[in-house]
Amino acid sequence: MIALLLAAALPTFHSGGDDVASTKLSAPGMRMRMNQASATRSPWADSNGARYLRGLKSRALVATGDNRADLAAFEAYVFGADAAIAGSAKDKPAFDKALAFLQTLPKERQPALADITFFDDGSVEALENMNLLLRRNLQFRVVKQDERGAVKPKAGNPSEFAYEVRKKIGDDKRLLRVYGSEVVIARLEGDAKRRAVHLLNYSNRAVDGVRVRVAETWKSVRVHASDGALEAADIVHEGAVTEFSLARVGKYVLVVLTP
Amino acid sequence: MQRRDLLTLPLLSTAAAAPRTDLPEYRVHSSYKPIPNQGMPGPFPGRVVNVHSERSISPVRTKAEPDTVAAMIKTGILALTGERDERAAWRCFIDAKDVVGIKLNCSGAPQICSHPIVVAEIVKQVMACGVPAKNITLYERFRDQLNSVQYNRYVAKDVNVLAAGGTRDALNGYDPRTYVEVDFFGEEDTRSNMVRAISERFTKIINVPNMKDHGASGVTGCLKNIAYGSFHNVARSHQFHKTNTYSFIGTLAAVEPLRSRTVLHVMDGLKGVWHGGPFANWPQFQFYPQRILLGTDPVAMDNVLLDFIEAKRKQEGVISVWDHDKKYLTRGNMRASANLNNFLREPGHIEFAASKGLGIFDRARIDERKIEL
Repeated sequence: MIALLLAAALPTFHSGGDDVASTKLSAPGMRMRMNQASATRSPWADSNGARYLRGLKSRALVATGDNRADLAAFEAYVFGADAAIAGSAKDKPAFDKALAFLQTLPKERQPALADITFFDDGSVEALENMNLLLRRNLQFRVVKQDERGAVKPKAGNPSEFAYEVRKKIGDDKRLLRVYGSEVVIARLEGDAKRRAVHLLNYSNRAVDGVRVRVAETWKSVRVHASDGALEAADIVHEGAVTEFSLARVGKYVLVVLTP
Repeated sequence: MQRRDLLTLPLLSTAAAAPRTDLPEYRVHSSYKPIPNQGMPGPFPGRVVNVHSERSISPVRTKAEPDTVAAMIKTGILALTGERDERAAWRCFIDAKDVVGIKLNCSGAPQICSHPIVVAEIVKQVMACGVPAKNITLYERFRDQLNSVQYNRYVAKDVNVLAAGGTRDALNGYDPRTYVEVDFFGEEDTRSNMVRAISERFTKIINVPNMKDHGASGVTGCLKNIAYGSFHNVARSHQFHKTNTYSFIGTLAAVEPLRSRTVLHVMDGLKGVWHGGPFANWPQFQFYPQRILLGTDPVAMDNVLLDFIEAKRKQEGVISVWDHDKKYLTRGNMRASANLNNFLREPGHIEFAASKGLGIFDRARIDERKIEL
């Protein structure tokens, strides 16, 4: 297990037009688009997570897109980014509500936990690799200098790359897994005394049910949900694993697990 | 050599007799034990009662005739069980204390689905066994398909009508502890969970499939309906032109408690689909078999269905569902020709299900009893 300490900055709202000193990022969200070669519809996640993990040279200025001010704020918070959410007056209420929710969360953040270390060489391919690792809910930390055991960037199909990494880790050994949704991106933090599971829903509607599997046994499961009261259900401890269900995942859910 | 190998021999040449080596690795997670002497293949392995009546439904008016349907089901259940009394026949499967789930098929609804007249007659017979209406649930996975039929108009008002998932991909409504885990194509969600009502509420299940071709599995009868219709996240088994229905259907159908609690199959063949299934988008591929099949052995029943669909396709002058020639593959243009298909069909799933102990596949051992009304 690899840990990386996150900053706990809260995002701010920015309505003053472009800020030249900032790094502009697009609005997070999910696009449903037909995969021409497949019988199924594959949702495409627009996430800034990989950019945040790579690190920005200046403060992020995140577009809100179509009513995405809250998701943009939650995403920046989860990835510990220094970010301003750029929106108009119509975006302000959603941002304010998101910020108010974030202020109710435990102040102390735990280190991010990872199954693997990824060497980010700054290339476009590395960014796409990280994007797909995130998309597949693989927990990784980023290093800027190649180190022993680190997974190196790979050109080609980033989805296949992510699958190779996943097989190498082994599903049963992963620190975190999410079942029941293709539109939720999950990040894991923790220390010896707790785990924090962040669930970001990139789609336009709430997800009706997810199942979460976290390595190790955690007796207490406490849920903080941005879209109203929510409790974990069907909590199971089996082997060295804890599983629980969430009946509804709105924009953002934080689950804190303790012994 | 098995029948499946024989039929694909001209296409696969030297590879035809080789055992399949491309089966995914399944992990079944269930704490339920088999119930001795109950469930698939049931007390009448190999027996299929095939009741035909031209009066059952009019191809012109497309209206089912309730009295004829009731007579077909009565005749069928008596022939299946060997009982002389209709009530005694139904009590071979249903007890007054049971909580009964009736698995519908609504994937082609409202054009082709478990006909509400057939379903209403089954409900009536279950209630006549002493089961109160509130202990009967008609279920299907997707609410939009289920609602398009409005079954509640045909049955007693206290009968429950349940869509397992409110929205298409919703995990709510499924049992988090009972699932099959498998990675087909690298999908992140590798679990298919059982409908929660099956594991937590129903004591018995009656399966009511249709007689349909299926673009992935070859046919969709008892096995496909009870398997894919009782689990979440199953469409992932198909990608590009490959489908894993060959082994996934039988694997799912054999999971406890689904296997033990599914005690009777009533295949509604009033109306059918011979190409383009499981949906019913194109009227030119619909037909009227005007029959109802009954049995406890889903493998034997689907074997009879397979022969029936094959005969219809042959009559229409199109390729067999066993044909794996890639020149017939298309992407969504199945309407253009009944030779075109999205997938390489896997009718061998029926034989695979037999290998899971779900019934008898050998045609010589199938006791098909044809009855004309």
